[in-house]
Amino acid sequence: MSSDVRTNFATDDEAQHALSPEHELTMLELLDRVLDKGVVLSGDITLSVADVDLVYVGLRVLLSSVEAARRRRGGDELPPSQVVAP
Amino acid sequence: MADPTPPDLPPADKIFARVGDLDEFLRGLDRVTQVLPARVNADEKNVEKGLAQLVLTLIDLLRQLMERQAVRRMEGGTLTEEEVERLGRTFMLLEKRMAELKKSFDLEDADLNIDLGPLGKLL
Amino acid sequence: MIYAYAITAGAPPADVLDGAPGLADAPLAARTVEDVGAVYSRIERGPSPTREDILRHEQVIETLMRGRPLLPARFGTVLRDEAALDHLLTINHKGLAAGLDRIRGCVELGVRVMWDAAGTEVDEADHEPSPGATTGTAYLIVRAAQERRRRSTEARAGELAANLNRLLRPCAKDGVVRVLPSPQVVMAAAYLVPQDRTGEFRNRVTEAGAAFETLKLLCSGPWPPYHFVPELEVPRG
Repeated sequence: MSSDVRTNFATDDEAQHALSPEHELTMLELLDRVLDKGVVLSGDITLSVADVDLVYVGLRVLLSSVEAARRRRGGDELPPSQVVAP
Repeated sequence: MADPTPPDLPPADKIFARVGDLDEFLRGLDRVTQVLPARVNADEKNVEKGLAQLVLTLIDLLRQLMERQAVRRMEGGTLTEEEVERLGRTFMLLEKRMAELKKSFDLEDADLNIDLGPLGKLL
Repeated sequence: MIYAYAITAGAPPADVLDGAPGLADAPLAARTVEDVGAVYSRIERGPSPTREDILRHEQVIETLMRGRPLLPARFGTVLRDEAALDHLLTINHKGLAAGLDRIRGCVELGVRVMWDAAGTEVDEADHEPSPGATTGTAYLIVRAAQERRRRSTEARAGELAANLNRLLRPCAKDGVVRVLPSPQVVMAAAYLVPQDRTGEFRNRVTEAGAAFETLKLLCSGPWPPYHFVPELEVPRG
């Protein structure tokens, strides 16, 4: 449900501050970009959760290594790329 | 020049164009942000649930990968009837076990649809 | 520790840096290595992925972006100190300069396309329904049928995405497209569009909507060019 986004980010008062559909969509588009895209200037991304600094290497970085290793071994079951070439 | 955007609202006017209702789009986007641990007030229970979500998603991914392999081989005729039955039973058991784990962590199927980036493309 | 917001062509002028508080209201500063600059602020700990911090991050970037080429950093980019930042700028100078050239005068526009889930026979939760079989063989047979349906859905999505991309891509300098990122989203794309062609792009989105009646299109932006940044050499540790 779309309420997942709000609860994921809610402090108690944020939870009560419902966003309009336009704002919520904007927030989702923004999150998609800032959390997953942009220049990676650091080897690790550091986020603080519950006042604890977590070095978030990133699931994608971890999975990229797995994927790269798999390709080097010559896995033949990879489906065609889902990216449409420009 | 004062910035009119309040600190807790996203920038205005980022919907550049659209064909369709905004509410319909919201329904299709709720999985965008489920990749990262985003709870600020992360008490033990939430951290545990977040980890369970991640682990179960990975297990589910593996299950799907293996099932597809099995289906390919079944359709390609390289499995005996006995092997098909045995594999199918194993997957059935795994699915049952996954359902139990999901239930005990209070996770829905939709919670396991974390976007796994490149690994997701293996499917 | 320092928190990095963006790479810019040269250092933004002091009045711009002073006019935009960073995370935790820390003041912005800039470093440059030749013509490549980075904007940062002091930070005590990694930022929390709260709405407030994320919006502040974006606000800084959008302020800096007015009137200069800029490559936005990912949220959470924390470095040890200015020396580490200088080092990074130095070893990646070529790539960053090229990256800035690439996006000069352009903005990012996002396009998400949804189709009617009811017409695609795909379960809303993208979870193949349990075969509910009593034997292993029946289980796999049902999975095989689901697999075939899934493949045909993907093929249809791919075709739609290719057609839409054909309509939109000519208006852009570059584009990146993902097909069927989720069952209801046919395509999620980002396009690097020159600022003087954004109006044309908007028209094409509307035209696409008219041409594909069963689809809904959402075009968001203009955004900083998050999807069109170079990959850097990053020293570990």
